[in-house]
Amino acid sequence: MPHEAVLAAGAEPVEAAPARATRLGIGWEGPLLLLLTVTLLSFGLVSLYSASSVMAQTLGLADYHFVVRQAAGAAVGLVLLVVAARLDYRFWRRFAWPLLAIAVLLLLVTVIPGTQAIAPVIKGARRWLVIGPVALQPSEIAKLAVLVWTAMLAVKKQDRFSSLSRGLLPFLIIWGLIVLLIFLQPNLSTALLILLLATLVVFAGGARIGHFILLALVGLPILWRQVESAQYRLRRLAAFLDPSQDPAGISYQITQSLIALGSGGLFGRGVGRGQQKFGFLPEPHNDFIFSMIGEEWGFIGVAVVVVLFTLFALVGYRVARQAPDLFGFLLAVAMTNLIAVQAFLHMGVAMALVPTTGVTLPFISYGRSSLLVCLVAVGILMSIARAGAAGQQAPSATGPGGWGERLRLGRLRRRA
Amino acid sequence: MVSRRPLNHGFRRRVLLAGLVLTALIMLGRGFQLQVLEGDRWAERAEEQQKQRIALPAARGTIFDRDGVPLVVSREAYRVAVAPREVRDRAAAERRLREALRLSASEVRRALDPRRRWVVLPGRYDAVVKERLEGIRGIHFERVSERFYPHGSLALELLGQVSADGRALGGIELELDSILRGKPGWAVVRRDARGPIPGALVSVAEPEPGHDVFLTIDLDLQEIAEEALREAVEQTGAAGGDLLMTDPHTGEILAAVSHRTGAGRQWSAVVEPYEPGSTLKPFFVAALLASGRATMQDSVFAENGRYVANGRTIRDVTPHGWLTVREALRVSSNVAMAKLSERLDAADQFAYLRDFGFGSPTGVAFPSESSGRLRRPSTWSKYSAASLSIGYEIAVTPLQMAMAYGALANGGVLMAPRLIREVRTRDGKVLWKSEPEPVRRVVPPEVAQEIAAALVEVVEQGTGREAALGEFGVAGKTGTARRAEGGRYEAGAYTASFAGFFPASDPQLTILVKLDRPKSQYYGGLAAAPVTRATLAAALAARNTPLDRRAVARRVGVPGGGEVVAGASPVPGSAARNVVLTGSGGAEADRGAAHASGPYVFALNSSQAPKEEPAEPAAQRPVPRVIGLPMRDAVRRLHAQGFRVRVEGSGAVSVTDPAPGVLAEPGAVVRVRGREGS
Repeated sequence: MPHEAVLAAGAEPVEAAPARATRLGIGWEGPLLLLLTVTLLSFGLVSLYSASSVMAQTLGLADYHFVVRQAAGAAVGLVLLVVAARLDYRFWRRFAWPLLAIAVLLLLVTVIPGTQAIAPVIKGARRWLVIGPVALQPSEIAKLAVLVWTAMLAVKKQDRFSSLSRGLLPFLIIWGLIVLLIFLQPNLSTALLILLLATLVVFAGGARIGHFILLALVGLPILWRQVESAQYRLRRLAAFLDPSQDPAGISYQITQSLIALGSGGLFGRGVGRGQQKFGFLPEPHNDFIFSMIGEEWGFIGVAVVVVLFTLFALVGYRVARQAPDLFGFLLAVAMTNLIAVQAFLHMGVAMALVPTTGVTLPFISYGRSSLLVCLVAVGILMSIARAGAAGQQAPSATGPGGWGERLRLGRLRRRA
Repeated sequence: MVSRRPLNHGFRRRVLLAGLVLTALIMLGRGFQLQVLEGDRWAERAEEQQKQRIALPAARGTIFDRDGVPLVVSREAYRVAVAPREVRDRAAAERRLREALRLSASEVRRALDPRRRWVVLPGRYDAVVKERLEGIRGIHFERVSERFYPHGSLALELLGQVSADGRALGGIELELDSILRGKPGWAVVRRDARGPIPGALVSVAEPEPGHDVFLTIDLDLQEIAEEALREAVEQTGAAGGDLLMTDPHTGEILAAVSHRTGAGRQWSAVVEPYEPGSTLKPFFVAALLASGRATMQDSVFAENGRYVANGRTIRDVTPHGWLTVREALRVSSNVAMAKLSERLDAADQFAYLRDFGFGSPTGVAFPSESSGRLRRPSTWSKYSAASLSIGYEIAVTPLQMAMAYGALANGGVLMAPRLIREVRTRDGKVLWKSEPEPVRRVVPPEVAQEIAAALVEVVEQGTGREAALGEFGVAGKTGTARRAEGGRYEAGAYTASFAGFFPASDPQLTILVKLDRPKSQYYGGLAAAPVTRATLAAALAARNTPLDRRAVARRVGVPGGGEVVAGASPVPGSAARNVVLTGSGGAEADRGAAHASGPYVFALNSSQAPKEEPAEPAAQRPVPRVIGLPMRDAVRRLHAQGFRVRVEGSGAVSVTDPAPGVLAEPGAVVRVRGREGS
């Protein structure tokens, strides 16, 4: 109850006064995030055209087919970004449970039998909801929902992390449900990614290290059995561990990715002049777009992309540090990780540092659900950044509840 | 509350951030390792898989007949493949596939089945079909080279075949493969994971096309020969047969047909030797004369048809008493020949037969030639000399026999058979030209002439009334040999043959007809000789160049001479069948008195030369209307009218040039175009 009062009181000055009066007052973090996002997005559309035009043509589509659809997604996403940025981030705290419920419902549709009409089997899995012209990946929404929900609950459970049953267990139950649903689609990569991102939020929120170790001890054998049960996953893993054992199979993908990256050299072959997208690289517009970027832009391009995402992570974590409250802090960490961790995982796969999994490169890979979620995440970060900046500029403007959070954080920082 | 906060969020944040930055550094390091340090190695691997060297097949040379009419050409064809998932307008694709390729509905459905990724349709299609299908998304073409036979299966046994992947499988294709094949080129193209990308050329070495080969075969004669042999095999119920026409002066093979019922096309005339029987007798007599052991006028007693030599009985079908050597040859008396063989040394007999070319390969440009079998005298039994004198205990190939008759025709010189006339480059430069190649003089000219004269008698016996005809008649000999199977002579199985030359006085054509196991008529004179007649009649009518037409016409009086010849036959109309009986040999001699006295002439009656035709050799005549007829029938009709024919394309005739009804000289070339291809 006091929270709501605080929110209502705090929202006013943050929303209205500084935005109009002192534009500098909203800080540089938000605009920089937007700049990084737009830069990556533009770079993404160029790369996507290069990566997908050949594939589109072999599929009998226009060469710009994927780019146009992605650009449309980006336009919608930018609108959502603006909406999310103008919205007080504390909205998400209240909206965490409903969002989770929506995510679970959507996921259920992809899992239960009898809904093939709107959740068709595509490439052996039911990952999409197709309603008329709109196709949606519930697992992407679930990604956002789980992170928002975890941040919300982590704030609540702040004092109970010392207890496994009362601290960590509630998280595990909800995560387990979501992960199970996504796993049933099946989409192991996304399930594991969500688990990883959510765990990082709880880690940031202060859960005990010992609990993580315990979880790992329990979880790994279960995971191993799942991996074992699905032959193709086992082969992926085996191929990763020893690529020479499987020259034509799964490690074919890895090898092709390495050939693409390696043959790019320092300066790359030039935009649009990559060869590996001609059927050698699997999913050059999606799971392996980074390899194609490496081929066409060379190490220079790879370095630029890595630096851009690193910058994004630095700014995002700065936003987290300056967040007015613990929820803002955790949400900022979660959203930053959503972008950065996923990006590095994607790169790791392309460079054979991580076993082959289907992880998209935020802002760049084709996939509108993923793009929308990423852009909303940026909007949320900007909202937190603005609130944080406003708090620093005019501490008096923030409400008493907000103070409490900030004080707590400030004291913690000082102790560190 | 604040004091209970156990953890340092700032610390956790920094741990996470440090982890992210560290990861970023690892990414940069890995990128540097892969792209900068190992870049060249990966680029090499990329090169390896992204470029492909593909062979550019050389265009195989064309095989022409002696006058430059193509018998086999290489042409571009297309294989059609469908990628069902690329197809957008399924209904349109289905309709056009059905129309262009004439596929059934179910075949088209299978080709467009979206569950399949790549469907290669059977068969090859020409550029016209390809054009009709072009522009449909999802339909792909692969260019292939195929051998095309403008004249259908004409001379296929000579030409041999080429497999789909360009390997020569036999015949001239195999024998002259190195000449026809050319030199393939190569191209390096960029490729994707599936294969070469069309048009993405990196470097190229153009292929060198193969050379063109001109055969000695004459298309018209070949056509006539095939038709005649096919009919003969059909009519006699024979298991097969061979027909050869050669030029006795040059050794050129003008027509060669082999036919085996139920077997593939193979030129068995060089591969399959047979026991010739009576057709070998002239060479034995020639040996007698040349070695001075006998003259044509010497008398020999034929023992009234039954003679026991070394404990073996030799018989004649018709008993004879005293005969001259010449008469013995004419009536083909086995007894007389066997008795005469006692006059000749085994070594001499062997030497002469060998000199006529028996027992040795002729060296014709064709794969797997058989040398036949002529045993050395040291391995002969006490029967061998007598057996050889009547054409047994020896195996000869039809080609050997034809060349040997050619030696009798040209005055005693054995010529090497020639099948290849010229080799030219694609742009017409003559690389090699074959020349007549005498192998050896076998007998003096006088002996050859004496034998030739006797052979005229064999054919024209008792035809005093037609002395004028006799002048251009056929010289030849029939043979009816029992066939051996597994070391025994088989009951009721014969080889019927006729060998001879034409016109007898100035031979221009050697002809050999052989029928294996004829059922209805097994005597050479009944089975093989009619084929000869039909063949020569058609050849005359077609006014073929190898025949010196004017020389023949001068003697015949009427080219394709319907009236005169028909009138000359004792029974016009039925003459054809009757007259041939005279070319009789030992066993079949005098099988019917009426037949025996019939003349062997060309009964060029009714069907071959209509009566209303002008009798003037060079008179013009209208080109018959053959449009719409099947190519084969059209060619035969034109040949019958005395025109030469050049065929373009295949299928039913669509155009002739000159047009139907236009007057043209006999012997003029009529170009005929088929509806399909060109």
